[in-house]
Amino acid sequence: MKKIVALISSVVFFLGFAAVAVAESGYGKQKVVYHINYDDPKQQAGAMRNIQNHINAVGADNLDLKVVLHGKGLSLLLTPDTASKTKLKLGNASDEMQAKISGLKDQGVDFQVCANTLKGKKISYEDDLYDVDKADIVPSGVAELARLQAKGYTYIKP
Amino acid sequence: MSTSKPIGEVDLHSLVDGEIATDERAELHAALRDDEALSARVCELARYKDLVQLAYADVNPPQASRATGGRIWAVAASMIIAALLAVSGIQFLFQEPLPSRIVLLDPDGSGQQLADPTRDETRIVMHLKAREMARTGEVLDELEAVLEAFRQEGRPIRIELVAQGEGLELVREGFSQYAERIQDLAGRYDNLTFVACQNSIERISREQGVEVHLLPQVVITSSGVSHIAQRQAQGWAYILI
Repeated sequence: MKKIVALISSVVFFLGFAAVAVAESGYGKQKVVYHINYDDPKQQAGAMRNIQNHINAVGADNLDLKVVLHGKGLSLLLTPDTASKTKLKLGNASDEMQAKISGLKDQGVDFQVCANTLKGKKISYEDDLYDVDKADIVPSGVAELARLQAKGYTYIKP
Repeated sequence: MSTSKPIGEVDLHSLVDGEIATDERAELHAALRDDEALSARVCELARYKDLVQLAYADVNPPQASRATGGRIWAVAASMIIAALLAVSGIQFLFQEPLPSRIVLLDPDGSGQQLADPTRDETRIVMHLKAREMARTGEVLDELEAVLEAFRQEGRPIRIELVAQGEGLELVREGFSQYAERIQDLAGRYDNLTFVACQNSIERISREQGVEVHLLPQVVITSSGVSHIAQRQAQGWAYILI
């Protein structure tokens, strides 16, 4: 009997502890998709800041965060010296921006790239984009945004 | 109401007043989609209803102790309404035919085609409000890429592009650089609907003193923003262009 009481109380204690850990951020688990389809470097830097603040508020462990890039939004990952060989005007992936992106990736952020845009804007994901591999490519940015929302992701356009 | 029974004036009135069973409403909406004259008639009825409500808005209900006075008020109110109806009716007759196709956007969210609940359908409401996006026309490339991909894979999809504020330019006759492209897309994809916001149209008319004409493929919703909110509540995905 004593053993059972001890077991139950330790389980209760552990559950309480876990609940406190989740409640600490005050938000619980979140699934979020950020949408970027513009090429203004200031606006893009602002979006990266929003995402970092979001992670700080909720905690990386409580957050499933994806960034969907399509159209001119791919300029976020396009390196400045290769931009001219593509049909995009701007390549905003400066060293500073690359550091920010890689910092976000280390905290679990996924950057997803639209295949339609790669084709339409003559971009090679291997040669022209910063740190993109095959698994990061989705057939259509628009369809991916719809798919994620249907799976319960909240849409944010910073 | 069965499908074989013709749609009468009473049915249309019931629809406008919201006094109609859900299944009958669905049938009527389906009929309205195919019949421009019928949908124009419903819009007319809805307009009269608004006018009547407007006319009554400032009329105080008669008090029991002043039955005679109340009666006079009632007569006066009905005369005002009759006058308003006559004037608007005359205006309606002399008005140029409305520049765009007026189709009621069905409240059940099925778009132009009837929704098939047995299939897992992707539904997207796109919000176009930036002038720059209306000018580059990039959104049309993206629409076409998505619609074509889904069509080839045989997956059902439905998209509404809601043009509002400065984004209205994309669907304005004489302003849009993509009139032919829109005609072509609307012709090839019946699961794509171009929607314009009536509030934005009225604001442009008021502020610039011009008449706003829309491309013939465009349907009108009274408020773009509330339409978008309704679609999201119905489970549509939202994308701000």
